Amino acid sequence: MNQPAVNGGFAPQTLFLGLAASSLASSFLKTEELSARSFLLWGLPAALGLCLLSALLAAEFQARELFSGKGVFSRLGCGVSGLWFAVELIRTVRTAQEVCWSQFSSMAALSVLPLLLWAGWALPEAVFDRSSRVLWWLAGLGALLCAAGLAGQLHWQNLFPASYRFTGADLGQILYPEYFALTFLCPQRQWRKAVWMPLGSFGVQAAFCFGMALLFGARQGSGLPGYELLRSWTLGAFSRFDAVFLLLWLAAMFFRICVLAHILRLLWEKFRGRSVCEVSP
Amino acid sequence: MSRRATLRLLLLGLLLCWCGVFLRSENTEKSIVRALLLEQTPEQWNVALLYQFPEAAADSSDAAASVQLCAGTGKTLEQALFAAEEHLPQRPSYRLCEYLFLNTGSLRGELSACEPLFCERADLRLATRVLAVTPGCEELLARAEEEERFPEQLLQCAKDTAERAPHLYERGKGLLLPVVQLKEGSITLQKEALLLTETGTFSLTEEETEMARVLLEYGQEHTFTVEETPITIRRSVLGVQAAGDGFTVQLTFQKKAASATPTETQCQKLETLCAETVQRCWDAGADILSLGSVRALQDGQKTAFLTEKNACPAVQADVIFLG
Repeated sequence: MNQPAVNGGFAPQTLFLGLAASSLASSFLKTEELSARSFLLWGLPAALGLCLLSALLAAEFQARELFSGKGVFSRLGCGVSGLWFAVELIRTVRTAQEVCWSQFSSMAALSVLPLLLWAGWALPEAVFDRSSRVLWWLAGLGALLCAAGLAGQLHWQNLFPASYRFTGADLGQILYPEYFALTFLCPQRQWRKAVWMPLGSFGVQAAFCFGMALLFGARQGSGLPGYELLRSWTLGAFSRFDAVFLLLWLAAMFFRICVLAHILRLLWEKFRGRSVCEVSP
Repeated sequence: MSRRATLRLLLLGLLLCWCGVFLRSENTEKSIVRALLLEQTPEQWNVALLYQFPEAAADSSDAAASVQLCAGTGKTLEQALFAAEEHLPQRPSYRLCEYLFLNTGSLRGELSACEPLFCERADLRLATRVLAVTPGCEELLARAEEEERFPEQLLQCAKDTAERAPHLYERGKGLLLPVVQLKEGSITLQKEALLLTETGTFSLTEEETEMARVLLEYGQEHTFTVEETPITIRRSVLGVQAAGDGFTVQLTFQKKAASATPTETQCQKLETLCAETVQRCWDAGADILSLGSVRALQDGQKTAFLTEKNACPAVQADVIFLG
């Protein structure tokens, strides 16, 4: 349990699990008008651009040893990144709590927050990597069941009556701090795989957006809360699968809170001038 | 005990206190609303709720508790709904509300009024099935007082019709509503359905209703009576293609084992019925075959294809029976 990470840092799939959950949240909490077609046309280049930017910055940061914790420049970099991750942590907690309250009338997210922060602070990276594999399997199963429950209700004809007009939401890309700290977060050369994370986040949002358009129609789907897509799920006697799916999503968000807390700890230690090896308990 | 251990214990206590603050004595006993009935009269709104209490299963559409009916009236829909909820033994939960009955008296008004309600309330959903019902809330309530099992029969009728009832989110394309009626004291399903579009409410004949269901792919089994011979279809496959200025509709049927094999004349009659149904629905303002989308896919560009303004394009139907 308390073994230190061999190489330090997270596996790309561990980081992406949290990002996928966060991207999904931005999809089903979204209510503004959005055309699936323009989302694809504008969102894909934006996501690819982010991948490129992320790769270039990672290479540059590695060359300049931005996250080494040595020197004023490095400490400043760690401090700024830490602030951004702290803001992201607050945003993640707020989103999880919002869904908990609106869907389950529960304060569970706030209730377990200290426990999550403690776990995130104390556990080594290897534990997160192992847990993420289980969560990924569950997420895959959930997505499969969702697709099965919506199968008869999705119609390609619904995509057509869309009026094409650009809105700012079409770019649809949220800037996550993980994109710009890859060399710090991922072990050795694994950050090269992680540069595709913006594309993965876009894929999650695009799948949701197309699901909405295929079900509700390009015109009607705009402006409806994204929850409605989950609520339409039906399979025999189980009429409200959305609760199970949201619980699974919540687990992924809690996981993200732990990961962010751990990243904050690593950055704090770097800021104080200690190495990663000293950090791992 | 060392100072460090004391500090840890203190922190653990603090953590438990924090968790305890957010513990709530949540009561799971709720009135599970299974269906919502709306009726708009010139003077007021009437709302009836089909609900189960207290033994309804937590998340199953086959909950075994007895179904009951309560009603309320008000000047607005919200007031009427609130009045109806007042009669529930516990606070309502709409999570399993899967059916929406609209009174045939004012379908358009009722549908327009309930749209925002379904969007606003977190536990209601747009995937609810919509049905039309001829008796008013008052009549239904009186009937429920006479016969204990009446609400259960009403819910069962909705369940049996679910496959043929549209979802609320399909309202933009036009809704083909099955009509539930009270006939000689019992609940029956009218063979003719109502087509509710942006332009109004239209009644389809029995044959048109069945063909429209085939074209909309509502349900698997369909029965047509052609030349006094009943033809029961077990499964159907629909194909629509743009051809010149018009469209071809290919209907491939698999008849039920015991059903008679249709003759060529009967197939031709079904083809005529198909074309007539498309035309009838088009005139009512519903493009039930999504011909606009098929044309857009064929031409590669989005063209104006409005049912209200344009004449119905020529539709050539082709019916094939397998086996």
